[in-house]
Amino acid sequence: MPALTRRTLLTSAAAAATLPFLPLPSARAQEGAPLLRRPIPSTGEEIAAVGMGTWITFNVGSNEALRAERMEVLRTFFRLGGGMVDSSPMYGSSEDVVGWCLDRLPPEETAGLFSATKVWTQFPGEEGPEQMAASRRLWGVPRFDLMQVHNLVDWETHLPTLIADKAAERVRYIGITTSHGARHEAMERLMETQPLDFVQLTYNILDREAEDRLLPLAQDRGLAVIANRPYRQKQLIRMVEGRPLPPFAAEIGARTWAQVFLKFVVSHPAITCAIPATTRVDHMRENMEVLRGPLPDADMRRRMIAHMQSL
Amino acid sequence: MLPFDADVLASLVAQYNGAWFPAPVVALLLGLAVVGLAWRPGGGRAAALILAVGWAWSGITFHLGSFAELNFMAPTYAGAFLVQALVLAWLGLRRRLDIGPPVDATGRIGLGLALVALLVWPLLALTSAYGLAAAEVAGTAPDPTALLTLGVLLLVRGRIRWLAAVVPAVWTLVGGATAWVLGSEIQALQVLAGPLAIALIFQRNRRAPE
Repeated sequence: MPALTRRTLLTSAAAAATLPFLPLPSARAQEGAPLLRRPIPSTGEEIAAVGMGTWITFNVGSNEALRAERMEVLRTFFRLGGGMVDSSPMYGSSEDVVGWCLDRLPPEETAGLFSATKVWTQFPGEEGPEQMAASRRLWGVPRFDLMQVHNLVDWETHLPTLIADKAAERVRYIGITTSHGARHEAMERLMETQPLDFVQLTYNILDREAEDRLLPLAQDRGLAVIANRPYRQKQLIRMVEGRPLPPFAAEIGARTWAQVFLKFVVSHPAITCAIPATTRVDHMRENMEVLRGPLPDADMRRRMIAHMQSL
Repeated sequence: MLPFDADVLASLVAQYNGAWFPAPVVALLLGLAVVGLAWRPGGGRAAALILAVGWAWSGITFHLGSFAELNFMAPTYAGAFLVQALVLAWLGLRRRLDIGPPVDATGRIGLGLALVALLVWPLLALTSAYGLAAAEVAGTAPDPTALLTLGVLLLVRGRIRWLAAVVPAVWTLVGGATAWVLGSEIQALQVLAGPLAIALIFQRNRRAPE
């Protein structure tokens, strides 16, 4: 080992002094990085690890100006490598608005669409197949890539229908959803006993209950996992408003707190796709940057959790 | 947990008002007439029937015709509004809504509530990006319709039929909770109106002769 000389020490110190002035891994620098895609375990098909939710954000009714704005959000999503768009009949006019946007975007721009919606019947007697047919009409798709039982409502009726639909190739994948940490026990039972492809649940840097049982079970059973509420519907963003980014953000190429939170979610090995929702093109770009660049490893994730808990 | 945000709701109200214009203007004038009927002997019948039309209109055109686009609960709300319309129509046709000028605190509070519903509530839209185009007017929009009705019920002479206050009182809780979630603290204050009105009704009925 060479001796530590004054020359070596001074040279090293000078090099270290330049570090703060070197450019961070910028979005432009990461543009050439490979897109983060995850396999759907049941088939091996890969989808982008960041998708798009439509809860509230795409429920704009018949306001054409707002619809046009959402179309630009969706256009940006697809242009930056997005695939999964998740919606539900429960989301008011969201399915209608998604379909309106898809109808107006050039086919070459929407070719990567992975259409995901849900069956959700409120009242006895409501027919799941009719609702799913209505959803196909609203989206303008001949069949969905993924159909899910929303919040496990009436799963006893709908899941057999979805299983039959998949066998008849009326849908490519089937799944179940919960949110806000509700009904995890019921979801666990279904994951163990039903032939599912996907589960959707709430997972973010503060809501990590799914790590205990559901995420490991999904990995064991070969189920794809969609993470909803990655920002706790902006609550996480509001919590850190005005606070400087932690030092580890630069290590994982996160320019903003939103990217810190989203990278945390998609860095879990069980997560196939996170579905943040936004009404803004700039926020969509921010979200989609997460598809490129480094992700936190297990040790970094622990540091991230500790940092959030310290706030 | 609402499936829409405040901006979209304001946009919907603005579109609704535009689509049905001049209904909001007519409704405002009829609402003022309802209050004025308290000073007219036997005016309760017309007041009840006008209010009934307002509830039916709001239920059908607002809840079913517009709000259902945004909120899966809208058809349920429409049903409740139509029930209230029937209750008021029955009271009106049977001449069982005897209103008069306020003679006690209950009446004065009722008058105040009615005037807030008619004259103040529409102005709250000025805080939205759509301005007065998104004004919520009693007789066409649910929140001020409920407030106006509670106010008029408190103008009843003698015993007040509390049944006619149930749907409006419950709606102030629904409307107030919605406003709170959407970040409108002023509109959220309506949650106080329903319980207050029910309390005043029971107090009045305890004292009034059968």
